[in-house]
Amino acid sequence: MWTLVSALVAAGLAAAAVHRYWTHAQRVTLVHNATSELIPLLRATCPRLFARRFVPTPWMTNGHVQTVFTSVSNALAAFPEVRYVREEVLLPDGGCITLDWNEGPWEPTTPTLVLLHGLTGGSQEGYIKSTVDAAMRSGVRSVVFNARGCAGSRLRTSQIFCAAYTDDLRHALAKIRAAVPDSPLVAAGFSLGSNILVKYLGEEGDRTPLLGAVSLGNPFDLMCAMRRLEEDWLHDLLYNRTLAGNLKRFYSKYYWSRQGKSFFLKIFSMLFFCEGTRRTSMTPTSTPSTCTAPSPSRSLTTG
Amino acid sequence: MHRAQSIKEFDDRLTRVLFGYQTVAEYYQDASSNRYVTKVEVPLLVMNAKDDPISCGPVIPYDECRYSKIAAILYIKSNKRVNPFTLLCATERGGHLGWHTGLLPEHWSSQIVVEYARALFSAHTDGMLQPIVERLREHKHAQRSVWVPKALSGRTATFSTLVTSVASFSTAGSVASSSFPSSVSSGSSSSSTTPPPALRKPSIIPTTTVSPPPIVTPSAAAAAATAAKSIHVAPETLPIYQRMQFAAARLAMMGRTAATRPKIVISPTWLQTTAVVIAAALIATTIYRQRQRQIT
Repeated sequence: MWTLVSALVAAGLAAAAVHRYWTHAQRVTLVHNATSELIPLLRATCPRLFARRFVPTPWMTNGHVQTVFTSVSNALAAFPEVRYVREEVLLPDGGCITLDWNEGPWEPTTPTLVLLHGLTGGSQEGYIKSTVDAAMRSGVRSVVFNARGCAGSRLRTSQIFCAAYTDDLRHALAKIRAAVPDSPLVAAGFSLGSNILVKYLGEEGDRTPLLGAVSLGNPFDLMCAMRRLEEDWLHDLLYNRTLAGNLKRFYSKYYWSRQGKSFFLKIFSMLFFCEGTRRTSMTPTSTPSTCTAPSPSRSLTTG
Repeated sequence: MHRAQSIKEFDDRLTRVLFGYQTVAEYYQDASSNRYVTKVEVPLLVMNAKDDPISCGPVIPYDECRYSKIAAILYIKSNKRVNPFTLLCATERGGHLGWHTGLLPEHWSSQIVVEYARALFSAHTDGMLQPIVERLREHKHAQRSVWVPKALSGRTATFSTLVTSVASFSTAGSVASSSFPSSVSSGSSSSSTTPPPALRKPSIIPTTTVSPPPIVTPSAAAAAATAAKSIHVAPETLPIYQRMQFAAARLAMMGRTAATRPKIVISPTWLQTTAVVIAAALIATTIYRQRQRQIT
C-alpha cells in the first residue's frame, strides 16, 4: 500500500518536473522597444534568437549546476583547442594588455568579433573558446582582449583589472581598428567584461568603432551582486570564496614576481635580491603615481 | 589582502585603494553599468539568465529596454528613458555564463552571439544597418527632452510650492512603492486640483527654502512664445529644481509617474485576454443584431 502511494507521489513529482521543464524552463523573454526599426531586421536574420526557446541540458536542473559546469568543463578541457596569435599592446601609463587573434587565413574585409572575458579569465576560458570556435566555423575572425594581468599579460604597473576603468578597452579597440581597418567590428562581453563593455558604450555614445555589441551575464549592479554573493552560505561557499581565492592566487603570483619557482628559490630571491617586494608590490602603501584614478567628473555628472 | 575571504574584502583592500575610492560601495556604484544601458547608441543584445547566481535576476534592465506600441501612442512626448537599440533576452535557466544545451553540453549562448554578430555584419555590408542606426540615434536624441506644458508658463509661487511638494512626494513615493493616487485628474488645470491627503504630510524638501524660481529659462520662454503648445529643453541644461518642477508638471497633467505607470507587455496572456474580449464583443454584437432583426 505505502509502496504504491510513494510510487504514485514519485511519479507525480517526476511528471511535474517534466512539465515544468517543457513549459517554464525553456521560456525566453525578449524585451525591446516596439517602435525600433532594428527589430524586424533582426527578426529576419536571427531565427535562433527569435525562436524564443532555449532547451537547457535536462540533467542540469538549476542555475547552480549550469554555473558550476561552466568552470568544471573548462577544467576538463571539454572544448576544442583554439589557436591564437598573441599581440602585446603597451599602454601610455606603462601597463600592458594582450590581444589574442584567432589564427587562420583571413581576408582584410572579414568581419571581426571582439571578445571580453570575465573576472580573472582569459582567452583560454571555455565560453571564450566555444564562441571563437563557433565564429570560426561561420567565417568570422575573432580577437580576445585580455585585460591587465590576465591570461599571461604582464602586470607592469600596480594598476589592475578594474570594473570601472574603460580606457584599456578604448586603447584595445583603437589598436584593433588600426590592425584591421576594413573589417566591421562587433564586441561581445562576458560577465565583468560585459559590464566594462556596456559602460564603455554608454560613455562613448556614437563615437565608438563598434557596429554593435552583445553583453552576456552582465552583473548590472555590482553592489547587488556582492550582496547576493554574501547573503547565502551556498553562494558564499560556491562562488564567493572560489572567486576570491582565484583573485588572491592571481595576484600573489605577481607578488612572488615569477611563476614556476620553487619555494626555496622564492625565499632565496626574496631575501637576497629583494624580488617580489620591489617590482609589483600589492600592498596599498606603496602605490606609485602612475596609477590613474577614473575621472570623477565623468562618473558623477552622468548619474 | 591575503586574508581576504570574499571578493568584497579583496576589492576593499586592493582595488578601492589603487583606484582612489573612499568606500568600496562608491567603487561598485561607479563601476556598475546599469546607468549606461539607456545611453548606448549601437545595437546591443543583452542576455541574462533569471536563475543566474552571480548577477542576480532583479537587476535585469527590463524597463530600460521595454517600450510598447501603446505607450508610444499614449506618451509620445514623455521623457521616457528607453533605448531603441537594446534587445533584452532573458532566459529562465542558464546560470552564470552557462546556457548549456544538448545532452552533451555545449554553449547555446555562443551560437546566439555569432548569429547576432553575423546578422549585424550582413546588414552592414548590405548597407541596411547604417541608415537605421542613424535614424534611431535621431529618434533617441529627440526623446531626451522634457515636455513643458504651455499652461505652466505664467503660474504663481503657490503653484510652485504645490509642485515642489508633489515632486518630493513622487520621489518619496518611489521608495514607499505606493501607487500615485489617480485623483490628480489629467487635463484639468493644476491650480484647481485638490491635493490628496498624502500630499499634506510634511515633505522631505521643505517648501519654505525653495524660493519661487523662474519656471522657464529665457530661451525656453522665447521658444514658448513661438511654439503654440509645448517647448523642448535638454534636461541636462536645467538646474535640478526646474527638472523636478517639470517632472511634477508632467505628473499633474498626466496623473501618473514613470514609477506608477502601468507596464504594458504584449505577453501570451495579454493576447489571449484581448482575443477573448474581442470574440465576446463580436458574439454579443452578432446576437444583438439577430435580435434586432427578429424584432423588426
